[in-house]
Amino acid sequence: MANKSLIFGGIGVFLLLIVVLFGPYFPFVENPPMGNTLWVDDNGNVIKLPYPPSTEYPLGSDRDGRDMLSLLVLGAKYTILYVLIIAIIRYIIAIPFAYIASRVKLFLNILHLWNGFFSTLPVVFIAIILINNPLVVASPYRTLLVILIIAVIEVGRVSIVLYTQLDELSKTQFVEAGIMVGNSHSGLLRRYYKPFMMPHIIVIFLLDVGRVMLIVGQLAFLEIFLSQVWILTDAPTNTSITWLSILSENRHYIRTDPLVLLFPGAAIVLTIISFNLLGEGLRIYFENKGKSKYNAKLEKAYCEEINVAR
Amino acid sequence: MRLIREIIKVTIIFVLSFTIFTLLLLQPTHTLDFNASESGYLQPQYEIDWNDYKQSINSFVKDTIENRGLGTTKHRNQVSEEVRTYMTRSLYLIVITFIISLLLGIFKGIFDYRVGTSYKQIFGRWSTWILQSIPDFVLVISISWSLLLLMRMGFPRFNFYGHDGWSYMILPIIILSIYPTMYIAKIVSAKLSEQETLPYIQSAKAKGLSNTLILYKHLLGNCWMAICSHISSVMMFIISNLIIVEYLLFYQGGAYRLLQAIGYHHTKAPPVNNIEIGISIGLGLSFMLLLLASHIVSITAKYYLHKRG
Repeated sequence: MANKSLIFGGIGVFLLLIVVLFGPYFPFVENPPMGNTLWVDDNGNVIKLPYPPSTEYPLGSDRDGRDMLSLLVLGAKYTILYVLIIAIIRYIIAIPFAYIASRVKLFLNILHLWNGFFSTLPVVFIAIILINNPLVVASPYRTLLVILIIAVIEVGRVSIVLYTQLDELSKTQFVEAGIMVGNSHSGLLRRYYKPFMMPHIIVIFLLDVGRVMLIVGQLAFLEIFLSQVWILTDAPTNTSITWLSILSENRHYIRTDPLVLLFPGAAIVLTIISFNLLGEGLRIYFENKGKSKYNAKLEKAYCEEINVAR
Repeated sequence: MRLIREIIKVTIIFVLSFTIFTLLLLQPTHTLDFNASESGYLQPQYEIDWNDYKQSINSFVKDTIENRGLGTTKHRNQVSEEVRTYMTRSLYLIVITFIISLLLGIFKGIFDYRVGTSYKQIFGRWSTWILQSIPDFVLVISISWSLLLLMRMGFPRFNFYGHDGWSYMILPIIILSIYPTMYIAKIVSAKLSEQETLPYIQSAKAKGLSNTLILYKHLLGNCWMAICSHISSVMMFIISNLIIVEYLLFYQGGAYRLLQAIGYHHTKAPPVNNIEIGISIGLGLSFMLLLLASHIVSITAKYYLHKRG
C-alpha cells in the first residue's frame, strides 16, 4: 500500500522549494512588485482598492495595489527561511539537552522546571512580554534575539519529548544487548541510539516547523515582526516581504475584504500541511523500515553476544 | 502521597512564573528613547536603571499591601472590578467551548474509529487531521470571508464584531471549538483502537454482545480517563487561540484587555510604553489560575490512570 502521506507531503515540500528557488524568475511574477493606487478600467470607472482577482491581478492586490501572486511568490523565501532557522536553532539546543538529561539527573530536573515554567502561559503571551522588553527593543541584535526567544521558549518541551524517547530506547532489550556486548559509550551512541533516534528527530522536527509557523503568524497579526524599523510618522514597519508581513499590513481588511488575507493564509496553511504530511509519511516509512531493521540488529547483537560467551 | 507532591510542584512552578513575569512587567521603561539617526529611521536607546527598578518594585509591593488590591485602572475602575468584567466575558467563551469540544470530540472520535480505513475515511481521520493543521487566525479569516460572502448573497445580516450580547459569542465559540474538538477526537479514536486488542473486549465480543453495548459500557469509560489527563493541553489550546480570536473579532474579553494593557494595541511611534501594571497582573493571574487548575485536574487523572495500570 502506497504511503500517501509521504507522496503528498514530498510533492508539497518539493513545490515549495521550486517556488522559493525559482519563483522570482517566473514570467508572471513582478519583481519588485510595484504599487498601483489608481486603476481606471475601460469604461472610465475607478476601481477601488484592494483590487479583486482579475487577469491583471490573478489573486488580487494588497492595500497598495501590489500584485498578490507576486508578493506571495517573493515572500516565500524569507518566510520559510525564518521559520526553518527558528526550528533548527530549537533543535540544535534541544538535542544535546535531551542527551545531557539522560546522563545527569539534576539536568533532567532543571529541564522539567524549564518546560513547566514556559507552560504556565500561552507561548504567544510569553513571546510578547519578552520581545517587547525594552532591552530587546533597543538592542542592535534585536532580530537575532527575537529568533532566539521564539526558538528557546519551546526548547523545554522538545527536550523532554526527545529525552522520553531516549529513555524508552535505553530500556529496550536491544540496547541492553548492546551494553552486554561491551560497547563503549560512544559506540553505543553511534551504533544503537543514533539510527533509532534520527528518524524520530526528523519526524518531530518536521511537525514542529508547523508550530513555529503558527506562532510567527500570530505574532505578525499582533504586529511583532522579526525585523522592524521605526519611522517617525508610522507604526513599526518591517523591512522584508514575507507572507506574515502581508497579513499584518492588510489586517484591517478583515472586516471588509477578507479575501486579501485569505491568500497569504492559504499559503501558510498549505505549507504547514505539506510539512505535517511529510513528517507523518516519514514516520510511517521509518516504522515499517525500522521493524525489519530492528529485528536485524537484535539478531546481530544476540549473535555477537553468543560468540563472546563462547 | 505522591499525588500531593506533584500538585505542590506544579503550584510552585506557577508561583515562580507569576513572580518572574510580574518582575518583567515592573521594569522601568521611561528611559527608552527614540532618537533620529542618519539612516532616516528612529534609533531606539535604553539604559536600565537598577535603582529605579528596585524602587518601582518596592512601591508596587507597598501599594498592593496598603490598598489590599491592585489599585485602579486608567478607566478609573478598581482593578478587581475590571478583571471581573472582562474575565467573565472570556469565561463564557472558554467554558462553552470546553463543553462543546468535549461532546463533539467524543462523537467525532467514535465516528473516526468506526469509519476506520474505509473510503469514508475522508470525513473521518483525514478531516480531523486537516482541521488540526489550520492556524486559528486563518480560521478567523476564512469564516469572516465566508460569512461576508453569504451575507452579500442574501443571508440574513447579523453583527459579529463586538461583545455585548449572545450573538457575538457564536462566531468566537465556533472558531475556538474546532481545534480542541479535533484534538479530543484524535485521543478518543486512538484510545478506542488501542482497546480493541484487549482480551476482555474480545471475550465480550465472542459472547455475542453488540458492538454498541461494548462501546458504551467498557471502552468509553477508559477513554474518559485518557481525556481527563489531556485537559491541561485542551485548556492551553483554548486560551492560546482566545488571544487571536478576541483580538481579530473585537470581542472584549480578558485576553483582548490584557493585550491592550501590555501596551500593545495601536503602537504608534515613537512608542510610549504604557504598561498598565495593575490590570496586566490581575488578568495574567486569572489566566494562570485557570491553567493551574486544569494542570491539577490532569495530574490527578494521570495518577489514577497510572494506579489502575
